[in-house]
Amino acid sequence: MRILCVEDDLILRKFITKKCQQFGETQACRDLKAALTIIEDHQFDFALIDLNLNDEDKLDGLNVLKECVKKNIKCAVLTGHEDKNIIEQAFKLGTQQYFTKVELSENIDFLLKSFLKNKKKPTTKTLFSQKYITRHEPLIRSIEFAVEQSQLNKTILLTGPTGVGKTTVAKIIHDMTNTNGPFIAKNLNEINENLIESELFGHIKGSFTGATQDKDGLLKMADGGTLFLDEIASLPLSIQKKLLKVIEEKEFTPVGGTKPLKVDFQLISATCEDIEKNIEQGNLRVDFYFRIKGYEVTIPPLKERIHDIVPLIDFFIANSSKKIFLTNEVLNILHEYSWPGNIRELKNIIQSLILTHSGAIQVSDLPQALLKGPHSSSDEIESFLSPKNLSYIKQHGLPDLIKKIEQEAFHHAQKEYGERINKISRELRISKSVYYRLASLSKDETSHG
Amino acid sequence: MDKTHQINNSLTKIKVIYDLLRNSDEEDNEECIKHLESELEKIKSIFHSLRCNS
Repeated sequence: MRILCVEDDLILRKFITKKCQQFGETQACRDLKAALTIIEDHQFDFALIDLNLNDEDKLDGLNVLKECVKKNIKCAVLTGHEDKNIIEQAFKLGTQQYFTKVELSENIDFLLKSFLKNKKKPTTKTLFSQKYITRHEPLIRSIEFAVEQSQLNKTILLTGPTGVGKTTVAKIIHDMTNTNGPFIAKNLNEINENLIESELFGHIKGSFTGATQDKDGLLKMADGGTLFLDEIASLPLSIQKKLLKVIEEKEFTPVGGTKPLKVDFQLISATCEDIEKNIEQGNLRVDFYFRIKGYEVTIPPLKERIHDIVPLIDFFIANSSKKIFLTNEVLNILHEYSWPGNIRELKNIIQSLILTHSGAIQVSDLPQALLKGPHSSSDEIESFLSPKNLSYIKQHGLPDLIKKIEQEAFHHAQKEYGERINKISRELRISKSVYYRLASLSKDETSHG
Repeated sequence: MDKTHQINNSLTKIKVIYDLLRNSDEEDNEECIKHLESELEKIKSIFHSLRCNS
């Protein structure tokens, strides 16, 4: 649930924002100009709008209301005083509720709760046209089936390469099945390994150094809604075991706590990694994998659904305030490109073209990477067999070159990720034993060098 | 804005500030108290002007 609050008075804005934050992600602004910019750039489910913004007589709030209704955002308006004409006007424009500031503190909880209760489930068609643009029929059917499975309380696993929109698909499944509950999303790769347990389960004050107060974990925050865990394969084995128990028993104990807490949430997990390889390498428990894979949706990379490219471009341009136009030659290049970064890469390119250009986009406006044509595996092999490497093989032999490449790749990963063993093993796709071998070689080299 | 409307506005804010104070951390308190004092001043001056008019 994303909520927009438009209120010019600082203290009321702060109050409304705090209240709304209990129900979802909330953004607040103080005037018409700021509101129009936010509405243009972000998506909201609900807006709470003060009609008298800055000027009692101007009723700028009605213009905000008009824009919100255009964008299918459900609205409630707030008025300083009951003026029947203004209220009638607001209802004609599409507000669903109104209330006066006098009754604000008493009624805001009731208003938000009643709105959430009445919130209708969006249709699949609406969600696909507003949030996830695809014409790939097998994918649409697979997501629709996942929604049905999710309604039967089955866990969902989303697989596919990075940048294909797994978080958006998870949100669609949530919106279709669990409209009233929270949607809590977390990329497990972003959490420090030592803090994962506390982040998921929460902790009790004093349970470890730095735990200065009780903290709710993601499991509690997702109670009654959906928990979306991205990069699930990076979850340490010990936590996999604990989470498995939570999924099965629907209760958990916060770190340092003694009393188990009941919890009920829908679990959606995602990964862009090769699951079987992770199981083979001992990074993923088999029982945990089968528990999180109630139903699996595989999202194909963008290069396998080139029919989505034009609709996606249209969607990104339509959602921007500035309009550009792509010539046929440009579109041909975009169709031929391999899109290793998938939808995320396409979005970044279109957004950067919108920022830096206007009018018709020519081939010369495209980033160099796109103009090199599709990547092929033979190109990659050729680059390994550079004249320098060939001469090295002649002098020292192939095993020595391979050893050198291994060490260089390891140094590079260490520079980027420090001592994060799991992260480096995943990034280089090496087992833990290979990690330790390379780490010890690296140490020897440092001590000798 | 008429006087009743002004008083209503201030009362609304006082209720809201009270709610914020009750639920806020210490950093927020000082800011809330300033707003509270300002709203009380507004009400005082409205009553003062009403008294003068009568």
